[in-house]
Amino acid sequence: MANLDPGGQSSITVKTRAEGGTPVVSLSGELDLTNIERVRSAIGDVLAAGTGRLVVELSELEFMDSSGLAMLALFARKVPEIELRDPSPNVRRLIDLSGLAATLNVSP
Amino acid sequence: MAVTPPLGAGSAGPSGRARGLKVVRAVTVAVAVVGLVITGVLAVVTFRGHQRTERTLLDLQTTLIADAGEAEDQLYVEDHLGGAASVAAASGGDVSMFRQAMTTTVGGGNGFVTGSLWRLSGSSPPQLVTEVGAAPLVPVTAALLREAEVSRPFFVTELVTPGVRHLAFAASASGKDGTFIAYGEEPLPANRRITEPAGSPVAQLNLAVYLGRSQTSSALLETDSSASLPLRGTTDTTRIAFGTTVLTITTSPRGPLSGITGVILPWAVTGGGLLVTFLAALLTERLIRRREDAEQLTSEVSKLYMEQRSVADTLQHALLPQRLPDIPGVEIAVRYIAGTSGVDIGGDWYDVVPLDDHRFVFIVGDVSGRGVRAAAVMASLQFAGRAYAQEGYSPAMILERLSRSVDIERDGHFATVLCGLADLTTKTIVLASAGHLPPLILSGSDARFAAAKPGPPVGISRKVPIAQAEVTVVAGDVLIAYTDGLVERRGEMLDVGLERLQTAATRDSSSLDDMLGSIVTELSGDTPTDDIALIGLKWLT
Repeated sequence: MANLDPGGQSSITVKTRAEGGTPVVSLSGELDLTNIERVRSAIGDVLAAGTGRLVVELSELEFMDSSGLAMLALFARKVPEIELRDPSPNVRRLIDLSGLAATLNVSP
Repeated sequence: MAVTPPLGAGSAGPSGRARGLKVVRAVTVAVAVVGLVITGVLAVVTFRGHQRTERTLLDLQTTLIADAGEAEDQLYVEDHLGGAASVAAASGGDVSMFRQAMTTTVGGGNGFVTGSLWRLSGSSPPQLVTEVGAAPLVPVTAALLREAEVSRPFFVTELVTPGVRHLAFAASASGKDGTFIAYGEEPLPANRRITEPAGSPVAQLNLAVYLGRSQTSSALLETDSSASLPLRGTTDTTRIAFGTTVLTITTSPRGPLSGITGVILPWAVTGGGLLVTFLAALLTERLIRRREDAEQLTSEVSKLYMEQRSVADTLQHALLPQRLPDIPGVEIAVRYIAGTSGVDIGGDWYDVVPLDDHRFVFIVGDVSGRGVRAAAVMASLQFAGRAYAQEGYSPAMILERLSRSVDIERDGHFATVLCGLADLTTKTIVLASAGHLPPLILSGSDARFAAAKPGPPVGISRKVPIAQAEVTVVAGDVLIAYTDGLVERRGEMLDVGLERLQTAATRDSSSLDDMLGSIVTELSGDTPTDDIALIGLKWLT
């Protein structure tokens, strides 16, 4: 029944900054279906200004489910160059297994 | 939603009324009873307190009246009659001195209406010395005078003739010329009624004064009460010495002596208590009902949830193949477990499509997200995949074609799909993965994940080609393909889940079906949060 609670969101923090003109979005916590919309709109706000490049920092992201992958893949369509920076081993493994590594620029 | 029972209309009425009749809950009754008891006790206590105060005040006032009356009446008679007798005794029965002494006491609205002086000497009859004022009501008898001679401080008796009543007093004093008796009569008020002046301390009381100890109507001297005598209700009686007898004074309050507050208080306590009790009971009842309503709502929501969940499960199972094909040389087992996360339908599926007598395609897929749209995407992918397989496309081409039918931007969902083409003749499996987790292949005691480089999930990108990998199997080998719900756990490396699957799959089991069952149990427990689809293929030859 707990899942009926619409407020039952997983914990995630989204921080944005600029790095030499390139917007950088840092995600920390857990990214899943319960909070994906918050993250989606936060990144959407960053992209609204118009940019050719986006960096998403993932070093603090402990968990991401397939909806997170889908969101990143979608942004990859809209931004000419998107860099997923320093994903944790778990997220890195997820990206590899999902075949998204071929469509996303993951570093290192 | 609910099926109307055959007696629906008929049974709803009585049961509704039965519920309506049960107006007051037990707790409410308890609250009301406690409130009433407290109110009652408080009312009794205040009433008793008021009564005690009234009683004390009545006693106090009666005592004051008695004390004042004692002093007044007793002293008046003693002073005047006793004084006159003493003067007579000292003066040897001097008439003018007696008259002088009685001047201020007889007639003219003074205490006595008649006065006389008598001399007693030896056994000879009493001799009238002189007389002032009116004549006595009845002739003064020798017996009375003889009795007065021995009475101290004075003798008193009541004289009655039709319509008139007097009190007769006689005081004696002895001198060298014998014993002198001063006699006087005081009239009693008509009808024995007196009126107390307003403001008198007695004004609040009904007062009845009796001569002697009994409170009979014949003994009544005076009263200020218009009520019938003897006084009833709360009364106080006291007796004071009066000559040779006593005066009995009985009082009862005309109204509350302590003021109106004392009378109102018990009623105010009762009224206030009843009001508070009523409000408390009302509040209790409302709280109970609100809680009952909330409980009922919770139970209904829970029921709806279960129903919705059940609908989702039913739909999910309906979309999955109802019966797997019989493929000679291959044993097939499947599992589908609906996750407990929410009520939405998931998007996991599996399928097995025979192509000819020695080839078949198997597909395991997982649509992202949940809900009816995810299920619709899943259904379209399942049917499309089946069609492409039957057309004879390779696994990689099947996946690439599936990518045309779903787009994350358009549909809001994407899917990871594993597709395999097994050839029983060549003992090979061609695998292709669109972002799906690798299948586990058990060969003897060895368990390894098939290395097929995954392409992007279906619906994400069509630009990246999907690779194929070929694995060879021998008789007895088992391939297990699954969705991520089986191995993913929050806060845990994905590889840990994969290793757990590896370990669970290599345990001894009596059949392929048992193996899948124990894998599911070991990896997900009783209540997996995500959906799990699982297919096992065992090469028999």
